[in-house]
Amino acid sequence: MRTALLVAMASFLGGCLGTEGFEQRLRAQTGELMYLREMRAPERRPGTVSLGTFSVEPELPPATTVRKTGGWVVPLLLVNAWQGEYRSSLGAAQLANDYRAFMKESLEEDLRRAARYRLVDGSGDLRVDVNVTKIEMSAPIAEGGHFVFLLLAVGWGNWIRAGPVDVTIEGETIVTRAGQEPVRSTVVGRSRSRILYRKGTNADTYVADFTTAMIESLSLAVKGFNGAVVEEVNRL
Amino acid sequence: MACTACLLLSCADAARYVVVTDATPFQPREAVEHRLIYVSEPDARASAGLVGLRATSSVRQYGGARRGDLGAVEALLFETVSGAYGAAEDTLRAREAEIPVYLWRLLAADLASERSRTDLPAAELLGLYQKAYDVQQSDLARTIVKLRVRQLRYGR
Repeated sequence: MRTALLVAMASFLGGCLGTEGFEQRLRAQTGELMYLREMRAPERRPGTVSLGTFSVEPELPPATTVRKTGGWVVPLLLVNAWQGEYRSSLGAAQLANDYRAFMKESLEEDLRRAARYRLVDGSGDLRVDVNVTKIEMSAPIAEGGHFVFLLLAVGWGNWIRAGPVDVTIEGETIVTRAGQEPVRSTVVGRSRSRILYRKGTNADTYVADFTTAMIESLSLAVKGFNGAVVEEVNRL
Repeated sequence: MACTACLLLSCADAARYVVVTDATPFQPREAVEHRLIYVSEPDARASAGLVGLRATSSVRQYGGARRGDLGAVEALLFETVSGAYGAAEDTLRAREAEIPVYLWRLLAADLASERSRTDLPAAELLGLYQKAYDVQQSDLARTIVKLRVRQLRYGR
């Protein structure tokens, strides 16, 4: 009985990942920033557009980090339960491509594909300057468990829930035409994922998938941001 | 009895690819577990028996019962859903002119992803799915390509 209890306790405690456990598993996964382009070019107008300066002020952490934001423990003799809440931040090391280069290249591609004006490399009739000022990500993870000891019977269980991931990218777009600034506006791209679906995956895979979910959300926020910039250009 | 059937069905080996049309109902969750292949109603007529098969045993049964020469679309779909990806690629190349472009591009991307699940960079595969997306005519087909990009991302 004592052995069974010890085994049960060990399994229970071994199931807790904690800050370091999550960090280690999240860092084990990498992925590419990418997205499918759904925008189509509206009717083309005469004239050209070029991308001038493109800068990204915010910096992602070098590697994914996790910090504990809350939790509780009920350490009773017969019933023990606990919960931990964490917040993770996607790190650049988890991205297979450079996020700054991706943001610039993907905007160029979106302008080429969906702007009313033909994108040119040199100087165009319209010049678009973009400065990304904010990349904000909220990626919560929670885990919990219980251990019940009822003299002749023991029961325990663990759970993990990751998500939803919220990403907001904000920046300023300036469109210049013949020395004038017909557009100077704040542009925002947002993305919100669902809580990560878990079926038939073990905890390690599930947590690794959360890195993918963060990369996916960042990709989709970039997509939204670029779409907003293209819309600004198309207003002219 | 119905429960037993459900249990047996749940034990059946799930097919990786499932052919769907506009008239085929499917649960959103199925799009996570399977790779859906959209075929328009007219194109699905010749291979109606393949539509909606969700278990590998059903696909085998279809192959066993099918007599006569298979049309290009039916051959391509059958080879893909039965997991004969090499043969499907041969059909894709040899009978390109007989296969509608929306289906050709989707399966070209799918078969490339099956051939080199780890070799080809994800961005290159995305490019193939982008080409497939750009020629789709129906909303369902576009949704399926979008789901495929998610599957590509999550390595499914």
